[in-house]
Amino acid sequence: MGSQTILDLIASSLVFGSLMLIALRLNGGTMENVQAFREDILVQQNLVAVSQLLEYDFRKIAYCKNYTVISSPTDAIRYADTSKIVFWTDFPTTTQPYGDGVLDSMTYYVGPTSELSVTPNPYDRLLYRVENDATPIGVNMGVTTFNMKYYDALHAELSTPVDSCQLIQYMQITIQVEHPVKWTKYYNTATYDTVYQSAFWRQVRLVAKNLNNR
Amino acid sequence: MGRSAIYLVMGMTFIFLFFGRTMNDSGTEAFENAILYYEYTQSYNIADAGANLACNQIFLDRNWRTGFSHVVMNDGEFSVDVDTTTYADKVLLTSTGIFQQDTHIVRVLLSPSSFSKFAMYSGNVSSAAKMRAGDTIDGPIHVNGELATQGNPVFTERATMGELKTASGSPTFMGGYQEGVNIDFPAYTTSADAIEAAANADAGTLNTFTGPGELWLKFSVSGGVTKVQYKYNVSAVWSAEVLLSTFAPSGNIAVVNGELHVEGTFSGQVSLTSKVSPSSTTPSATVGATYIEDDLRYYTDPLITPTSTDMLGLVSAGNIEIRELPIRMDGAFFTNENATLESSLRNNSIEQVKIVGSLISKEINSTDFGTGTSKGANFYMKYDSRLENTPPNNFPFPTTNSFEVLSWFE
Repeated sequence: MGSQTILDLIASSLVFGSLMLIALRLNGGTMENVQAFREDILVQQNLVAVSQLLEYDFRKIAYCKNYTVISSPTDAIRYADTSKIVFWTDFPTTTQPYGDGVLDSMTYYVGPTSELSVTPNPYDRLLYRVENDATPIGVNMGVTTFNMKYYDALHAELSTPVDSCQLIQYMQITIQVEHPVKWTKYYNTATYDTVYQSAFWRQVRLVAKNLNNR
Repeated sequence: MGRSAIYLVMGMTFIFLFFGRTMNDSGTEAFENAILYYEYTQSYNIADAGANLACNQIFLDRNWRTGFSHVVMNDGEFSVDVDTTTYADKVLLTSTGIFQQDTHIVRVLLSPSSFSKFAMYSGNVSSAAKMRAGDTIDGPIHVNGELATQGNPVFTERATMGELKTASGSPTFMGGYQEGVNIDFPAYTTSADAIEAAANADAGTLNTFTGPGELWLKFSVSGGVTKVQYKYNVSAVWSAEVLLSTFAPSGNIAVVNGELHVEGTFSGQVSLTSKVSPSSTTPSATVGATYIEDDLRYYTDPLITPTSTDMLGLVSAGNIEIRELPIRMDGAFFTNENATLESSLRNNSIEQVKIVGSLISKEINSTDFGTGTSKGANFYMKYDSRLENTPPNNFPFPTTNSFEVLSWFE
């Protein structure tokens, strides 16, 4: 093996090594991107699941298959605060998809941030959806903001907690879902701080049709 | 060297292909997530639109039962089934909205609407007549024309009107409100004639009084039995007490072409009419008018005892004039003209007119219940929910020729 061959081997090793480093870096970057995409999807899927659930339930405020059970639909909302609402509705069952005609109570609220202190995100909370007097069981959907505003018939915002829930005609629901872990590639462009991946949903004016149908 | 380079290129190509596909899948999945929510929302919107269109058809033509079949809307379609058999005397609309792979169903149960549902109904209210601070309508209200408010009157249930006008302050609508609603004033002559016919069929002391002239009635309850005193003018002496079962065995009492003056407390069912004959006669202060002289109350208060069977229906061709303040009036009151305060009370400091039942008046003029912000009468209308299913005998609670939504599932 002559000196030329040795030089060839050294040169080719350098070239191979450089290409290998590029490939590894590319691999790392791509992995990060793929994972970030995946986590984005997770956050968005959580948001869609929560918003669909809320829309489904809130549109049934004051609904009962047996309409005589709710003699005055305006009384259907029993408690209304920024992060908690209690109302009458009628849960569907497997055999009766339009409700069983028995009045049910639904409660939505979010727990304190301390309940999810195990996650790196200090703002996420458990979302509670309680049917009748069942034991509250929260689900971790990454909800960091669950805010409701209430408006009367003249579109004036009501102070919370609402003293007279009969006044409520419209609601604004705001939800923000965040990832429990901070990814380094997401920056606040103003401060250059890394931020949690998040998705935001707002129902500007939700009208529960049964609230004032009679 | 050549072989190694080929291996390297092949390896890089494989890595690029793998990650390219994975990234592509992630992008597709994210898009699918957005599409899923979009399709769900679109199918809901289409089904909801179908239900709204079907409701509109029924409100335009109450006999419309055709439904819709595969109506294209917003790149989807909806069909509406109209079912009149599942619920007796009611209409069930089932609107099915389809968008791409998603289906949504909206079910609306409608019921013919009746005047019996109103705590207060007025065919026409003068634009200068206002519901004022201190007025409370605790039940559904409808005004065909303009509902004007001043200060902060409270409407605890649904309010419908031709137009809402807020002169000052902020009214409170606990059941929401809807403008642009017109419900024709109901005919009453059949009801008044039926009360007169029922009164004439009785073998009572004085079932029908024929004017001109005045009939004054004062009810009282003693030992659980309703008694009546009567006279024929204000200065006359009241008659001895007569059992209502003797005076008007069926509880129907009619005044024809005269004045009816009434007050007191009673138990059981009483139907009163002050009518004109022939029906083309124009009512006046002395013909077809009714005067509420003092409290007119049920012996068993339905606000305390909801099972009370005491019930009053009063049908007047002319004005119903209230001549005492404060006053409580229990019953369903109908006037084919004005509901009003006696003129001398309109400028007094404000006091309450409490009506437990319902009030249907053809007109309310600007100063019928007082002047300014603090003179005359404040309304406290408390709807008696018994009226909806068990109205007084022969009372004009016809259908409004429209439907109301009983439940809306979406």
